[in-house]
Order: sequence, then C-alpha cells, then structure tokens
Amino acid sequence: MSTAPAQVERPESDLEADVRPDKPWVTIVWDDPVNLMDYVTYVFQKLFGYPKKKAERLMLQVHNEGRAAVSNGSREQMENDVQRLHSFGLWATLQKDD
Amino acid sequence: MRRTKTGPRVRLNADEVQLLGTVALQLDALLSGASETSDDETPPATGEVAPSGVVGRAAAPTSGVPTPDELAELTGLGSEQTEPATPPEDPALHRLLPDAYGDDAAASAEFRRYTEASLRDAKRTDITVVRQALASLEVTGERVLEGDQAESWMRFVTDARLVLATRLGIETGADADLFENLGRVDADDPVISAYAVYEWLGWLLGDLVAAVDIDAH
Repeated sequence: MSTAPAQVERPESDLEADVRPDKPWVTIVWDDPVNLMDYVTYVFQKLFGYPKKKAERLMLQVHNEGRAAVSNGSREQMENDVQRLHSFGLWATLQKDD
Repeated sequence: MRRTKTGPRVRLNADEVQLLGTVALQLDALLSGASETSDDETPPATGEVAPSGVVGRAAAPTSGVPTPDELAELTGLGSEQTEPATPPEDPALHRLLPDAYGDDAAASAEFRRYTEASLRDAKRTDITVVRQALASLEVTGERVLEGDQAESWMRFVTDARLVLATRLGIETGADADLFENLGRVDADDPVISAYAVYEWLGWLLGDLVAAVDIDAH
C-alpha cells in the first residue's frame, strides 16, 4: 500500500510554500463500511475548505484504496484535524509523514 | 427534504419522530456511560408506508420497529465508563471515540486522556440539538434546520448508524451487502428491524447532505 501522502494546500492565508520539513505529520482517513460517499465528500469540503472535485477525489481514494492522506502539518494541527474528523464519525489517525 | 434559503426543511411523521427520539436517548446514554434509560414501551402504530412528504425516501419502518427496550438490548447499554486513557471496551463506543494513533498505543492513550471528554460532549451536544428539534417536529411535523443545526443532525445520524452497524456486525462492505439482500422476511426479528432502522437513517443522512448548501457557510 502506498505511503506517499497527497500534497495538500492549506486554505487561503497560509503564505508559506508547502515545505515538508515544516509539516512533518499527516492525517489519514480510513475506509469504513458505514459512511456514505456523499457525506465523506461533504466533510472534506467543510473541514478543509477543499473544492468539491478535490474532496471527491480524496473520498474515492479512501473508498478504493482503503485510506487517504487528507491534510498535513504540525503534530498539533493534525491532532486537531483528527479530532474534528472523529466528531463527524470518520475514522482518522495521524502519523509522521515519512 | 427541501432546501430553503436558511437550511434544509425536514418533514417527519409521528413514528419517525418517535424513532429518532428513542435513538437519541440511547445514543446519549451510551456516550454518557449512564445505565440505560427505560422509556415507557409504546408499541409502534402501524403507520403509513407511503412516502412522508420527503422526496425519494419512504417513511421509517413502523411495524417491527424495535421498542425502546429492544433497542436498548441491541445497543448494549449500561457499559461501564472506562478510564479516559483506555479505549472503550464497548466496540460501538470505541468506534465513536477511535484511537488517534494507529500504531502507538501510548500516544493514543495520551491523546484520549486530553480529548475524549470533549469529543463525548460535542456528540452529546449534537444529540441535544436534535432532541430540541424533535420536540418541535412532534407538534408541527416539519422544521427548517437553520445555521449549524443541519450538521448536528448529520453527525448525530452518523453516530447512530455507526453504533447500529457495530451491533449488527457490519464490518465490511460485504457484510452490509449481506443485510441488504436479506430483505424484510421477518419484520418482527429485532435484527432485521435494527437493520431497517440503519438503512432508513442512511436515507435520512443522504437527504440531509443533499439539502445542505455547502457554500452558504
């Protein structure tokens, strides 16, 4: 299974380039048999501000490959993302981006 | 469900309101770690099966709908509240409050120690929002979900589905397919009716998602 995370853009105000050493952690969303595809797409749009096409692509990656990296950043940022995803009933974990 | 300028308009019949109310109580009890509540057992009326004013979705299952006690038994309430650092023993609760680190139990425990209580509270707040709306829906039969209410409903319905799926043993897509193909052979079988509730909640969630305008933050 591929471990290369998708490069994701921070919305709007983040002026820094997406330099990996500054963003060493990544949030993974895992597939589950319960959550609806439309709902997962909605959650990605809502939580990360992704346009619908990107949110759909990530959702399909979760669905087809079993998991997808949906955001990257500091450990603290990823813990926050994971908790927000858990509040929406998605199954997410964070790990070092290596 | 229709999209209005301020939010989705939900229409529910009396049986659906009662069903959601029961689900809300059970879910809240599970999240609070309290012992199961026991509502008076009122047999569900044999309601209509025609669509209840919602585009594309039939009314909630009425005959064979689990009573509050049956649903309580199915959801296995009364689980002891565990220490914050250990994952919940109840697999349904564990699914609502998952581990944050896949391969680092110590990090997961630390994360859980600091965050589990607030995650439980957030989910219980969603339940409260839904119950308040249900109180009004009981009277009027319809309600526009304004502001963040629609998302509270989505999260609540999702949590309810996650719990039901765990109880039904739905662990893979194949498991879900198996249930789908069982049909309504025995509507009095609590497992079959629990699955019917699970399926109906899926339709409800789909309607909610379709009716929310993502751009209207």
